Order: sequence, then structure tokens, then C-alpha cells
Amino acid sequence: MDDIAATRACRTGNLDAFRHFVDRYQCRALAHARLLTRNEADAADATQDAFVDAYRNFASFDPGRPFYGWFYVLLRNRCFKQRSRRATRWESGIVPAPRVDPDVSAEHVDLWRAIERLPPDAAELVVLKHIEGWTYDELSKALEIPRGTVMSRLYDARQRLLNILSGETREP
Amino acid sequence: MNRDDCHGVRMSLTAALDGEREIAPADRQHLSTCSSCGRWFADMQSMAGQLHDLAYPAMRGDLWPNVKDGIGSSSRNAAEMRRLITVGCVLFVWRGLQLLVDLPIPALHPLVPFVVTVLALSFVARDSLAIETSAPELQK
Repeated sequence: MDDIAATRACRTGNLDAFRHFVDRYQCRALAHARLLTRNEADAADATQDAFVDAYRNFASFDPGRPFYGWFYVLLRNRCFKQRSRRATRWESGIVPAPRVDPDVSAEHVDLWRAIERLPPDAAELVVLKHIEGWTYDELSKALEIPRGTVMSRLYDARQRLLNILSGETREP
Repeated sequence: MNRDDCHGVRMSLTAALDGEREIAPADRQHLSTCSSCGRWFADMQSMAGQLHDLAYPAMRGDLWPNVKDGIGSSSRNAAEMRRLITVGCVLFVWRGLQLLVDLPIPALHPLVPFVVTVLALSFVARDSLAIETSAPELQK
């Protein structure tokens, strides 16, 4: 089943069809939630709640657009709620060790660790830009910031990441 | 080389690296003369390549059972809210009628809200007489 078929089935009230979206996007949603909440339990709760929100608000999903772009806004809201509910601060150091496949190279593990050392908003931008491949316009819309701000924040985020990867402690 | 020049060029190169614009001739010229920016751009390109190939960390377990429970409980809550609002509306309207209109056959008055509520629930919630249970043997 693809997203279009699953969307059609979900619109007829078929709950099991919604499983397609959970199965397909839970891994990346959880990774994004973990970056935003910096807490394993909060990330899992926020992701589950966001999927429930998505099902309840499915009528507002435009099937002509990618599911994850629409879902990400719900996920982000849930992460912020979760963070404020528990007053979790990313600076508190509650950063879980990244769960990685045993097959994943050490280089990738280092890269994930470096991303997790970035502030949540910077990590979010780097992941959405480089792994998800979103454009500046898509980032601007989802994060509700002007295009120029996306550009400058992304520049700062990558500069920080480069510094972390090159072992510099000082950030610009 | 002016430090501000380097900053502006790097910002512009970042956008080019993201495929949002072409590298401007002036930026290309700057890259060929500024070794610091040249090194920086090479590092950025290398990092962008690594990030592009990066996969999400694997997750243990499956969220679906919890999501399904969440959807079920949120539907139940919505249904309960609908029922509550229906009963409230029926009682409110009935009480209003009693106060405003001289209704006939007072002996039947206590029955009217009950009957109207059952009818309204069967229309609004479509499960007025449903008995909810969490016992798995009864759910079958």
C-alpha cells in the first residue's frame, strides 16, 4: 500500500489503513522527536500523540502534498507541549545515547552524536534539510520562520556542526 | 581578505550548496583567492555528503499498538462528550419549554426528557444503549 491508497482508505474510516503511515514514518518521527525533546520517553509520547492527532485531523490533510510535511507540524507541536509539560531543558544533558543499527558505520554514529550536541532548533534544521531534503520554502512554512531566517539559521547550525565534528569546543 | 566578505560569501555559498541558487561569479572568484573559504567550502561539501547518506537510528518496538489505543480512547472520549452535550441540551430545552409553555398532561412530564434523550442519543451518538467493556472476552 502506498500513501495515496492509505489516505483514501483512512478517509473512509479504515483505522487499519492508518497503520501504513505509522509503520512508514515512526522511525524518522521518533528520531526528530528525540532531537526536539532530548528525552527518550517524551519523544515516544510526543510521537504517539502526534499520530493520534494526525488520525483525528486526517480530513485536513491534503493528499496532493507529502504526508510527512503535514505530520511534522503536528509532531513539532506535540514535542513542544511535551517539553514544556516536563520542563525538560536540552541543556540539562538528558541526551540519550543514539540507538543505532550494529551495521551502521562509526562515522554515522559520530555524526548522529554531533547532531545531538546541537541545540534542538539547529539539529532540527540540519536533519530536515540534509536527511529529509526539504527546500528553504518548505522549511520556512513548516517552522513558521522567514526564508532568510532559515538560510541564516541553517548556516549557523552547519557551522556549529562542522566545529563539533572537527573537535573544536568553541562555537561561532 | 575582509572578514565580512568571507562571512557574506559563505552564507551565499551555503545557499548554493543547498541547491537554492547558483554560485555567483563573485563568490567563485572569492573562493579561488581566499584559501580559508576554499577549505571551509570543501569541508562543508564533505559534511553535506555525509549528512545526505545518513540514515535514521533504528528503533526498537512498534508504536502502532499504543497509537491504536490512543485513537480508540480519543474516539471514546469524543463519543462521551457528544452524549453529555446531547443530554444537557435535551434537559435544557425541556426545562425551558416547561417554564415558557403551559404543557398538557403533567403526569407524563418526567418521561418526556427520558424518551427524548434516548432518541437523541440514538441519533447523535448512534450507540445510546451500547455497553462498553474492557474485558477481552466480551469484546470478542
